Amino acid sequence: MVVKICLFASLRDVVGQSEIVIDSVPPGNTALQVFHRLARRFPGLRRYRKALLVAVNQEYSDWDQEVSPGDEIAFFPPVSGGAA
Amino acid sequence: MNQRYSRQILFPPIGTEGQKRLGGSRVVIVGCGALGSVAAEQLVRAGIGYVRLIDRDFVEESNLQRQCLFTEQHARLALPKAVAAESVLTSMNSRVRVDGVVEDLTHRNVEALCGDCDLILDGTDNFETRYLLNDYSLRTGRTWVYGACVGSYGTAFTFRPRITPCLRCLFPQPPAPGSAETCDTSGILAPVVHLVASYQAAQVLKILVGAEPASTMLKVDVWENRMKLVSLEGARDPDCPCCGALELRFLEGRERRHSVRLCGRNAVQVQPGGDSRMDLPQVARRLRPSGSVSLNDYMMKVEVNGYELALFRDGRAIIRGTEDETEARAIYARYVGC
Repeated sequence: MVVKICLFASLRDVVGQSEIVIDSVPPGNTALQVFHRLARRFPGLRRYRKALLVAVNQEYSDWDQEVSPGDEIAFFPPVSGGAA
Repeated sequence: MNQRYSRQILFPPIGTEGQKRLGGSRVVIVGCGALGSVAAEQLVRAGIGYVRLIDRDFVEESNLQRQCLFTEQHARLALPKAVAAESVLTSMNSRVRVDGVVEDLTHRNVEALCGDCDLILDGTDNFETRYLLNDYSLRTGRTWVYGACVGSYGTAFTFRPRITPCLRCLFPQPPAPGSAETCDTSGILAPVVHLVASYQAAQVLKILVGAEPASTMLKVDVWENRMKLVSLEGARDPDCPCCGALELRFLEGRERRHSVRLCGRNAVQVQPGGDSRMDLPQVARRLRPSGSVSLNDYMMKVEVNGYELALFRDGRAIIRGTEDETEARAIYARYVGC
């Protein structure tokens, strides 16, 4: 199945684009499995994994939530700047 | 009708009654960098009765691109931001009592500096202070309005104790030092700062007049033309040690980053709490655009802005060029991050 991934802040810089479509995601895959699939292509993502928030279709989601065809999965790193 | 606020009073959700409430309200802004100065200007012009600004830093030339309260004169004089901001804000609206406090917010002074205010606006540049605000909010029931920016990206959320998830539900641990981007290493655009700070100021106005603040988290990137509102329903962690069991480690001072003056060396050692092993080559790559970097197996050194920062693999840093612990912790937050 096909899902769309949205990447913000430093994740976008690692991948080089803010949105990426992945096909060939096996049905029943969780948000975490999708992340790992992406991280195989972009190993620089791995070190962010533990600090990320994940949202599926703009709703906060657990990592073990199953994704469905056409879902939009967004990963957000914590951001600390106050523009000091 | 009072002309000063007439256009705001004409806006039905505020009206005369709302304006009165604003005039009787007290807000504390923690951090008066870019987010804090934009929000402060809007809240002072809106006629909040009392605004306190807390900041540990001083004005530098590199602030002027985005920190709307400061001038070249402030930078030449290296005035504390809280002092410069108080003076400018008072000239914008002399009816508002503005109080600039040059201090580092800590578990020791948070009650004295926030306890007499109705709510807290976050303009800080580090997670340590935000976890402290989160703890304080849970202990006292005060709402705090989080905002943060880096590059062209920004985010904001209104944390309401026992209603919304808390910061620790979303991010159980502070990001490891060195792993998060900071404005001093990745840059920052003024438009995203103004957008996020304006959004924060709007939430403050809404809460103070009794309206419902946003329950979604703003995620915006002004360069990529993207804006998302993420629902955080379901994000409250029933097992959260912080909002569940009220283990308020930052408020109790148990997570505080330790710092110590190294006498006679014009240097301060900053020691982060917890497990902070860091990837020095990665930090070095990130800092290279900011200053002259050298690296060996044990430490990384960067010379930047008149300071020399020596960073060790355990997260400890020795910062030369100051004997002021508060200043050293600010430098650590800016260049190593937390």
